[in-house]
Amino acid sequence: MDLNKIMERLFLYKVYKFNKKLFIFFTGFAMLSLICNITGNEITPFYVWGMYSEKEVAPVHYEIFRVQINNNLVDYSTGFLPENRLFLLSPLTYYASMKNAKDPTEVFLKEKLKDKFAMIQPYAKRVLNSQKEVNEFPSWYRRYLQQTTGKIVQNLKVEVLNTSYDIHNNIRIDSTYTLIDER
Amino acid sequence: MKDKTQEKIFSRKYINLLCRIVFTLILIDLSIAGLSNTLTHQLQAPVLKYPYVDPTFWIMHLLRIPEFISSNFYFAWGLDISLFASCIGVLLFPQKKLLITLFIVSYFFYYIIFNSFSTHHNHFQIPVLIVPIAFLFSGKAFTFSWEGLRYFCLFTYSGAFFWKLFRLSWLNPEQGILIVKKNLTPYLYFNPGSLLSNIYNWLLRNPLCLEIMFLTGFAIEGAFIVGFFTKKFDKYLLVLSLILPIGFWFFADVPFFAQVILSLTLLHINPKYLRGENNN
Repeated sequence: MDLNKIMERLFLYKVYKFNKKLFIFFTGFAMLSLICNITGNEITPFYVWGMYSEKEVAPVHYEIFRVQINNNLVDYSTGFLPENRLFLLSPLTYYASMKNAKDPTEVFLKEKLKDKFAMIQPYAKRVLNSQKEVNEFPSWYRRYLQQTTGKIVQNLKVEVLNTSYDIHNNIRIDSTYTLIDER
Repeated sequence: MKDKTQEKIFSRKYINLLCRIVFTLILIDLSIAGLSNTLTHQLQAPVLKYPYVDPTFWIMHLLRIPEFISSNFYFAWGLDISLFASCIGVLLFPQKKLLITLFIVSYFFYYIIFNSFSTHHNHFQIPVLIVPIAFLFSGKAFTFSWEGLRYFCLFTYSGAFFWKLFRLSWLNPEQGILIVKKNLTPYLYFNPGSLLSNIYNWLLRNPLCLEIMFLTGFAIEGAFIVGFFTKKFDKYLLVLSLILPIGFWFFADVPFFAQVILSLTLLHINPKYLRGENNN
């Protein structure tokens, strides 16, 4: 087959023939997306489309957050739209991981960059979470629960249930601890 | 040399139709965000942020933009009003590029706020951020942009296929069951007797079914590679692209339905819509 005919059928070639600037825009976007995917580093708007590709490893525990407001259980797993559920659960999980340690992103960066972390430390201090954000979290969570449920939150209790599955795949509670208790 | 793309230029009428379809879906998505209490003014000045290692998020947080908008009553409301007003404005006047630009800029801020303060970088909003950019172009440039989005759509799914392929997760016999357990344990704990719980519990007792479902999803993602070489199978890929979000929801409770906006690029157009005025 003639090379010219093959080229004429290529999308980027057609764009190149039509408009050089548009060609640079498309090629740049495609190249940066490809580089981000090869290196595994996401830089908005060049995304890595992994979608559950990471090899799953069975954890020791599956954490379940039991949220109670005014002594009533908030079952975030039903009755809330997925985005709402995300905001009820994901920051809470992050808070639990931060409460007794540093921001997981900081830990990750220190591990990855080692001595070079010192170079970005002044910026990291401004960008990553500190004890201040950790201290402010329960108040925010209370406000967001009020927004979500429409109820005045007089007391808030969040317990973490460390669960696992038995051989019949039934859930069992291995241990429990209180994460937030505000009365 | 004959320009073969000439006959495929979308008419202004068709671009407007596509624009209205896309922004109708976006308006539905924004309304769902409102019902989900996740619009900026509903977030109640969140505190924990998650820029992770994305430089765009770092720059935004260094400039304190997400913190400022989400914690300021007027700016938070202003951003939400700007999102809805520009979206409705585009539906009414799809040719007004200024309205489309305003929407893209507003949504970019919302995207950063949502993903940083939800402490999870989600991919389900990306089509809403990316697809409107095509409508900034007209005539032949739009035709190329729309086709570029088609390749982007193919890239999202085939990328997921290659990640799974190279990470060898498709060889993990427990991949399916572990994804379900990771994402649905709270649901199973709080709702032990529901119909959906019974279905999940049955699947947990028969993990081979979950593994087959995972591998089917993996194969479906791989099928999108064919789209890079031919458009003959686009109608099938379109159907598959509508099935995959259901799989993501079932397996992982992730609302990937905005991906449907990208799937529109796989739609075949009735040639009668392609005739008419061509704006370059």
